[in-house]
Amino acid sequence: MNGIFGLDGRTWDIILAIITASIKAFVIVNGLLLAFAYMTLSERKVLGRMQARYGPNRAGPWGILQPIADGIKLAFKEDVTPRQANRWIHLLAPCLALVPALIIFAVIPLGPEMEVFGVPWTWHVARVNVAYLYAAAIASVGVYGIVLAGWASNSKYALLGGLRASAQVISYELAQGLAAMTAIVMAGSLDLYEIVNQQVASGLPYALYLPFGLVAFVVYVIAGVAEANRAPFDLAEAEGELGAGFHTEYSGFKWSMFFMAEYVNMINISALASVLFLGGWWPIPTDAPGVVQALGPVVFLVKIALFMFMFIWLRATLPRLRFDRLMSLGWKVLLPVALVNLIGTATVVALWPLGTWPFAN
Amino acid sequence: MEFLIFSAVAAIAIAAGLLMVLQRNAMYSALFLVVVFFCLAVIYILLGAYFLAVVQVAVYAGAIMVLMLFVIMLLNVAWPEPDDRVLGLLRPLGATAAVTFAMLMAWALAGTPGLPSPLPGTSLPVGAAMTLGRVGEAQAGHVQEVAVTLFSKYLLPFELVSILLLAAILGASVLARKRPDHA
Amino acid sequence: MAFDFVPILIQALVAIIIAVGVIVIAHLIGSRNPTPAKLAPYECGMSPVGQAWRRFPIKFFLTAMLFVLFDIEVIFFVPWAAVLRHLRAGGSEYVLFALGEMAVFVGFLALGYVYILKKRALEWEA
Repeated sequence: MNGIFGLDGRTWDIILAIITASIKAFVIVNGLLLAFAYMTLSERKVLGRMQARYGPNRAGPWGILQPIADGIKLAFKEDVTPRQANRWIHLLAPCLALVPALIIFAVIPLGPEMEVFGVPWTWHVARVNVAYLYAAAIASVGVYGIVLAGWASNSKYALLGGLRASAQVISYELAQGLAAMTAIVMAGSLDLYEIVNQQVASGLPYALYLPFGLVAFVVYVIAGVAEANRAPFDLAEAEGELGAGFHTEYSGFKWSMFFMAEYVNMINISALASVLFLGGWWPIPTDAPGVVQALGPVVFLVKIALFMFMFIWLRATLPRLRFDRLMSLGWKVLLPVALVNLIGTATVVALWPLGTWPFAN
Repeated sequence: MEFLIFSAVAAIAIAAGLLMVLQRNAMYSALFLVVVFFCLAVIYILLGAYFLAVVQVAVYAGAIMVLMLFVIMLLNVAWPEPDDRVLGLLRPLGATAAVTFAMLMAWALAGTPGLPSPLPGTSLPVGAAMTLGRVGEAQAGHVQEVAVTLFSKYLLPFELVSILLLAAILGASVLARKRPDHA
Repeated sequence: MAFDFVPILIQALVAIIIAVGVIVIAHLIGSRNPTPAKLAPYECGMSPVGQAWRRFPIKFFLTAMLFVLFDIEVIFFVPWAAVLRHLRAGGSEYVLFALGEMAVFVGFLALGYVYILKKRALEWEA
């Protein structure tokens, strides 16, 4: 590739890498938004079936045009900013909720690194050696959207909803972090690739490393449901009690940005849970021939889809928790369980003899 | 390339820092401070301290500033204008603090002869140790490097942090306790 | 190397452009017909009483403080968790030492946890 446009090889490589990354980032961000649109449809369909009704079925065959109709409707809706609100922060809050949700996925490895006709190809936007911590850090920044939306609206329902939601999110972040740490102790790395490869190489995903892996997985998923403010932990927008919680005073597209952020966060949590505990593209071997490797992303997406189905199923099944119960579940049950579980895992990993499966090296 | 990114980020950081200080509205100040934190994280990345960069975002932007937002919201009842007597007292104090801090920075950067150099020593706080530890070497910023330094050379500060955290937990629960006579 | 992070920056730019873009588009094509009642904050259809910016329960503040403290603990776990498995290669004394260090660290924090549990600082009703 030397000498094209008078640029040397290294500069050309950098430009090529930037172009590739831009295309991938564009595809990932739009893919997430498309997945959000069809999640809203499948959620209404599945909930409908679970309640013995049809769900949306008028816009197009089986209602597949429903998300587009909803989007157009929302775009033409009036965007109301209440008189007492702080205009700028009212505008900033939905962006602060959506943008972090959209950039976490950059570090998720969807499939094994492979070669297509001799050219290296990767299924991620960025591979960094602190990937897990990056995802956790950006996820913790997402709470600003909620706090600021509640505050900027200057409405009692919004403020209380925002406070409740942020207290809930930060409380469950602790248990979630400790549960994820269990997988990191077992893999000995923060690099999500390395975590998946360890599981694929050992033949078992960490959720099946009994008992510690399974406990950590369950804690992670419960905390994840709470992080995403989903039923049965959807107190933030307990529509019967709090209006709509922190986004009471939002309408039109700004409202739908909170909606997008919630669903994209669900996808992020599902993806991270798949990487940390279900082995990403396991059982596809990392070093399989190219065609088989290309199945990796398919397996990964199926795992994400199963998690998304679980989110809907939970919503259809479980009643909402009371706020004090919610906080005590986070602080008094999940946090100590995750901590003890982590110490147990660490002890086992530390004392495991060198050279024996599954913690050989 | 790196110099360009550094200059841009440093300029944003300084601008956001100034805006933070000059804002009347405490909420805006807090948000500008978050911008400064993100700029610092980018600078850490440029220095090769990846772990520190994400910790910067997770702890300062993700935890401590959320607490600050809660404080601002908690005290948000009609912010009173500071009266002149208080300001008269605060201005010289602030100026003194600013000059002292500038001198400290200059000393740390230049390692003035006659003063002990701040670099060597196990007595540094953990955060500084993590920054100064191995930056500049090939493996710098790798979590394992930070871990090995933290859990061997800086073991005592690390354990002392747990006592500090314990004290803070006790303090927090005492501060926020409901007084029995008011119950 | 630092270049690994450039794609993340690019994705952040894409996300910001999309977020700002949809707001601008919705602003341009959305209808606008404000009335005083529409601009009032939601209060179940009643006329709003005063401002919402007022003091709120200290419990939220306590939760945030405890979160910061325990979050720092979790962050200290990270380098330890990432290195523990690799310490075995150096001999069992290293890995046992690392376990012991963390046991002391967690021990102090467990004391704090038991204290706030006994003081009922975690009870939402108290």
